[in-house]
Amino acid sequence: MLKLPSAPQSNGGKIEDEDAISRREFLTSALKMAPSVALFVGLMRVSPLKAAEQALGMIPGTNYDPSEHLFAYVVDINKCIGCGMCVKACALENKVPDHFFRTWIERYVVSEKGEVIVESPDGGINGFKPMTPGFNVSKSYFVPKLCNHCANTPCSQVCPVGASYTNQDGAVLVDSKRCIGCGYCVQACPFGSRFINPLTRTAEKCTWCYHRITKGLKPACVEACPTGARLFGDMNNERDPIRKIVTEEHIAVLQPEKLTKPRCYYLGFDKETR
Amino acid sequence: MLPYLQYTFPNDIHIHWSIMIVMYPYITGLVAGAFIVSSFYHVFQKKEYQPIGRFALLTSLAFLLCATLPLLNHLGHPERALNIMITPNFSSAMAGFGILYTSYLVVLILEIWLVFRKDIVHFATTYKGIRALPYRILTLGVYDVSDEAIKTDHKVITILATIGIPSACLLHGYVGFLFGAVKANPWWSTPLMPIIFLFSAVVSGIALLIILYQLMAIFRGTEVSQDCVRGLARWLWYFQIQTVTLELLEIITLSYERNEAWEIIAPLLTTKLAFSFISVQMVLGSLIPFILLMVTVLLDKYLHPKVRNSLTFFASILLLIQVFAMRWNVVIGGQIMSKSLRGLRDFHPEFLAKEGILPAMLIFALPFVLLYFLVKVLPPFEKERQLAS
Amino acid sequence: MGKGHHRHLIRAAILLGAAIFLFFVVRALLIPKSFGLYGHFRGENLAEQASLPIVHGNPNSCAECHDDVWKIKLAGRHAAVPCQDCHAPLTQHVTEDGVQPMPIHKTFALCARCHQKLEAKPKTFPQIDFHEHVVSKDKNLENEEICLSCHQPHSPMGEK
Ligand code: HEC
Ligand code: HEC
Ligand code: HEC
Ligand code: HEC
Repeated sequence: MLKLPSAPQSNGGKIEDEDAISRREFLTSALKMAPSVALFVGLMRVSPLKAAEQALGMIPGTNYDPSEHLFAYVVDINKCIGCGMCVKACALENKVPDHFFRTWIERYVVSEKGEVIVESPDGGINGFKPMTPGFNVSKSYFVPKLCNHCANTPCSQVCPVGASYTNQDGAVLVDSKRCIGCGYCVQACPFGSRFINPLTRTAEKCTWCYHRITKGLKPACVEACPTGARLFGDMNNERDPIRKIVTEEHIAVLQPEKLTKPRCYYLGFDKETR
Repeated sequence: MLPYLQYTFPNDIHIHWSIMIVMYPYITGLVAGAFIVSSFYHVFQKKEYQPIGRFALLTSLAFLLCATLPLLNHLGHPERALNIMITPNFSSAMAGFGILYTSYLVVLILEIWLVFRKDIVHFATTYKGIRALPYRILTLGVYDVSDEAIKTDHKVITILATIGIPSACLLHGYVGFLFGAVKANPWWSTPLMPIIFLFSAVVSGIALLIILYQLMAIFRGTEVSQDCVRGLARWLWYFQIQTVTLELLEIITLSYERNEAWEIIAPLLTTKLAFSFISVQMVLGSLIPFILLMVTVLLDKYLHPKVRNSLTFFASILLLIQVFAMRWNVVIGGQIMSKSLRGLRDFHPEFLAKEGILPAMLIFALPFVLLYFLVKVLPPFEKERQLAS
Repeated sequence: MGKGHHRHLIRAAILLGAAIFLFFVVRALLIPKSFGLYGHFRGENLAEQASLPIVHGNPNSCAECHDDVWKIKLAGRHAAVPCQDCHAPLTQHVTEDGVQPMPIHKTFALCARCHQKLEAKPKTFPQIDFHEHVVSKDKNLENEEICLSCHQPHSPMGEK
């Protein structure tokens, strides 16, 4: 058991000596602290500083070097037929739990007077059925949505533990082994692209099928599109058609006022799209 | 409802931050509020708050120790909670939680330790055997309670209490910031949010102490100090006015600016939040206590102590409800509104679920149990302390 | 400060210092090795993400074994329609344990996903009002496989 000094009797007069002891005690303790302080600073590990700029080489197990790529995604709203094959493919490819979506399709129906109906029945995974909007439709279109892989991403910014991050190739990813499941990133994403997977209880989102793109394949949704409404490519590759589109066409992004700098661009964008 | 207000993003169907995240700012608010009350005495040396100065500190500690529980219960992986201190990502406000929480905890524990040190030494020397052990450990082996030592302690207490005020404000202002800095959500995203949170925290803290103080007095059969209640009622009224003004200001700004989000926030307030916002937060929780406290403060001269006690007591209960409703309306309200800004969803709290009403009630009861034991171990009121010595 | 009367404070300070020190030691042990290698995240996660199993094969992966169908499809109007949309992902079909049965959807629900007439579809995309299209040809929509009686799914305008 702890041996504590017995309580001194009422301590009135103090002797000079006690002064000296406490001063010495203070000095020795300060001296004892010094190496600890040194160790303490040494252990702080400021490693992230050194890495960011350095050439990193291949990801182990692949012949893919993230620093050589900068991906972009283009959605051509004019081509989307709302078949939902992309949503289905995504769900199968990434084992997305039911009723959650890494990508989904919205249908916008706009009247001459400006009334808007938006819907996305079960994310469009089974396609769309005819509808009666109750007004004269003046325009109507499908908008595929997915994570915008923002360059200035609000979601990884708010991840408190560094589980969500933006990689050099532009992909915004989540490390499901470090995610604590707080859900702050879900709240911070203005596009509703994130969710908490009820099975793993961690945050989940579109990864551009990172396991595919690191092997030179396209994301599953792009491969599944029968009309070419979804395009994916590498901006660092001069012959990639996506580069021409992004640099030469009139493109728009979702919620530009949020200044998140999406890497997912839209052709044929209408003002009602949010 | 308007047909064009029915679209929520498919992933937005689930209200992810539910009652636990309502409880969390509520509890930290009480922590900060109680601490501020204790500093009325410990920093600003206002003698009329002496009866509750120590008790307020213990209250703050009891709630602080429980403040992480709703969070841990909410996390998908509570076992990884410490990642927030192992690899904190400082671009996230939330990464500051570990540091703010622990540093405030340290300040608070140190202050309590010093405030009660004389009693600790006293118990350590008068109690026998096992009963004395915790006190002996708490003395750290120093039994020096000479006038000089106590004087030193007082200086340090003042310093700690002075550091404590900004720490408490940070700890709670930070919670407001967590919401106020989410630009994706227009119902949250306002720089006013931390301030509103802080002011309402002080309201809830004062209200809680008024209630506990009066209850303690009844159970212990002691007098309620009228100076203390009178002073607390004044502060309560003042902070309540500030809080409600700010809360209204935020909404008025949104509507006056014709903010694009107003199109969805207006229906939100008048439909899904009609009960919790208009009826509870604004009428029951703000207007009525405002009148009660106005009577208490303005007609102070004519009030019988019993009337004063009852008026402040009921106003305090209503204000505790108001602050809870405010947290609810912010946290739940912000998620009822989909980020598509085109639709509202429903929220039906469950009773027994992991993050349901029952766990929330248990978590809220826990600080009171803790407080009971803390008061047993470190009697904060004069009477017991005199009896003991 | 009263001289000599702050021993308890010093002890408390030492305790606090020790606790902080201990925290940093424990923390240093708990930081994953690859953390910070590429940025503020666990570097190994990139390899983990990259090694997830691929489910959908290349669009032309079916050509290997179904050369006949592949050629028919390429020549027809469904050239751009991926095989795995109408059937199922490659890895469900070609597994380590050999070839598993591949689902075939013969109902018009499949065609409907793409060809049902909808307001929102681009006007240039071939789309039909099912009822009109079939009934006008004296056929019965109650037969779920009705489309296949006139259209060959792999080359819908080609010979049937
Ligand atoms: C490794 C060679 C191989 C590849 C690659 C392959 N298949 Fe097959 N497939 C077979 C064999 C062998 C059969 C016959 C199995 C049987 O009859 O049970 C078959 C059967 C089928 C059938 C069912 C035919 C029937 O009459 O029941 C379909 C449909 C089919 N494949 C589609 C595909 C599609 C779509 C792809 C591309 C994603 C594909 N296959 C890729 C070997 C392959
Ligand atoms: C538009 C949807 C669609 C696409 C695209 C499609 N199939 Fe089919 N496939 C069908 C349907 C429907 C049948 C059933 C035909 C029948 O029984 O008359 C079928 C039958 C088959 C069969 C078995 C019968 C046969 O005709 O040989 C094979 C093998 C097959 N498909 C392979 C493929 C391959 C390989 C591809 C890609 C090159 C492909 N399919 C693309 C819809 C499709
Ligand atoms: C995944 C979407 C998809 C599915 C499923 C699909 N098609 Fe197609 N279909 C297309 C596309 C894309 C075209 C090419 C349109 C173009 O050339 O503009 C097409 C073209 C056609 C055409 C030729 C139209 C023309 O005027 O050139 C016919 C006929 C047709 N499909 C019938 C069918 C039938 C029957 C089925 C069901 C077995 C079916 N399709 C299933 C996507 C699909
Ligand atoms: C009796 C035979 C017959 C049946 C059954 C039939 N079609 Fe057709 N379909 C045709 C013929 C012939 C054409 C080309 C002439 C025309 O446009 O009518 C055609 C054209 C089409 C086109 C292209 C229309 C365009 O505007 O270019 C599509 C798409 C189509 N069919 C889909 C279907 C689907 C889906 C079904 C099943 C519900 C179906 N067909 C059933 C005979 C048939």
